[in-house]
Amino acid sequence: MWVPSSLVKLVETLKKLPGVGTRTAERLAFFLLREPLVLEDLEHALHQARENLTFCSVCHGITERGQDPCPLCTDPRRNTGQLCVVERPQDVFLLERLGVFQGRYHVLGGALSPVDGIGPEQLHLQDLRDRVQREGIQEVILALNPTVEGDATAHYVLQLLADLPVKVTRIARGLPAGADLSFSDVTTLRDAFEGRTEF
Amino acid sequence: MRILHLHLINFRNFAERSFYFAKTLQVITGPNGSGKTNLLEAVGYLSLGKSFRRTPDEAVVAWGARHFLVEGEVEDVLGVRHRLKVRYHEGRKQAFVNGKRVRALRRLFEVFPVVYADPLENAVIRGDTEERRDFFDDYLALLDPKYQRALAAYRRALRQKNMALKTPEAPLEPWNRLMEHHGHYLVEQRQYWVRRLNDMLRNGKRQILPVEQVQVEYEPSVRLQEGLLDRFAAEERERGVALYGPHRDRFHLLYRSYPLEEVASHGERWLIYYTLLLSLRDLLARTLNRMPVLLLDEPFHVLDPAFIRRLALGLEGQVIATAVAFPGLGEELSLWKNSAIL
Ligand SMILES: [Zn+2]
Repeated sequence: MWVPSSLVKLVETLKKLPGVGTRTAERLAFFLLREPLVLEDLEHALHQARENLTFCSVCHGITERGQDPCPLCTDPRRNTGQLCVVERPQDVFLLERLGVFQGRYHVLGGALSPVDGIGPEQLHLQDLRDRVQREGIQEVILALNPTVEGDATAHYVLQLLADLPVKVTRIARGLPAGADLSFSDVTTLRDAFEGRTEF
Repeated sequence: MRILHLHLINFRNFAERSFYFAKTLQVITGPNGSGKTNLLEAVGYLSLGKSFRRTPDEAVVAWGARHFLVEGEVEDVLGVRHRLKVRYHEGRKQAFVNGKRVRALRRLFEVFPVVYADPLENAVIRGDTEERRDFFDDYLALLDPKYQRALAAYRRALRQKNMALKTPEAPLEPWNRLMEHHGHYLVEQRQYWVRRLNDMLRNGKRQILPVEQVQVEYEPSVRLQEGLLDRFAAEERERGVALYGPHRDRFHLLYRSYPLEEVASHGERWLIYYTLLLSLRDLLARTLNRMPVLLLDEPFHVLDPAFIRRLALGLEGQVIATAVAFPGLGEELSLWKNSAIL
């Protein structure tokens, strides 16, 4: 059977994306071939993303090249005494969309998980301690995922900051693992943020 | 509860079959290999959403097929009927109650509880510490959804800790805190449910069961408190495995105040196993407000006819048993509705 090798390559690459199987990859590939304008936009967006997106050297969230530290880290209107610790860069955008938090962020880049080979050195943990000392943070708010690994990471952070004059609190319920937020998620998370307790 | 009928597609040796069940006592007869245990397993799927033989779903699919379906109708004491369905297709499993998809398989058990008696050697008879702990953990998880969640979290933290113990410099404390937190709940509930079970064993089925003085003793391996597990770090690092915590607790079975392994004969052990199972069934019935259907796999192999007769006369609710049809049991079987599987 003859199939153009560029088409095979496109399908194989799409299949590397999370949640995309063979059938979806083929559907997407044929769609892009039928819609040259979308293909062009995608090509452009991917190029921009590769050229312009990078990680903020302060909070480790996502920012544009040339904007490091990111606007969230440099915005003078934001509360400098509060630091919200999350696992993934997308959690920052999720919380920003909720608009419940006006302080600054710190992205760990994951959670402790020895079975996946993730120890404290693989996460931005030492850097968190340095920031708390350097920036004179008064409250560290843990907004980690509601998993065993998220809970273990919370315990680790508590121990890590134990000798520093900082209050460590934890939101009442963890951040949902998915990226989409339903209405009820928004309400629950807002309540969770307001009802956070000292850990 | 009782199951009225069952419809199977591509389940083990059944390409497509329907079964209808008697209201109380039902015995299913057939030669070895005809699929009697598979049929009980299918009934179990409508309750646990999985195989009680711990077989993975993909291994339950009939040879050459890619999906299976188990469908059935059950009825509660008030006569309210529920349609249950479990569907598996290439790695994905879905469960339905009255046509509505349920997210947690536990929902099936809440609607339609069953208790299954193992025909082969089992934890209670053998006295293996780990198997016996798993046996009680399984039932406690069914009795208490919070126990099920705490057990899952504890096991996950334990797995992470065991890996951390094999990784130089990996911190143990976070996992210890979680094992202490979830473990505390496990210990508390094990104590509570063993107490309830012992009350049941003391006061329960004396008229049915010829064995008396069966008791369960729960022995926690450590007195859990925050920070305790850190004390064992050096020893655990050296051995490379987590040595302390509720995953090392023991359950003892006492017969006339002595460990069952020391005093009970083979036949008595089987009676003790059934005694325990019937008490757990009563405990589930009180907790869930529904009497679980009792699935007895080949009880006629291990129990004597007089006992089966008492069982048949004294048991509440629906009982489904399997048997290779063999002579000499005619009188005892006369109380049961007998259907051949083939
Ligand atoms: Zn930043």
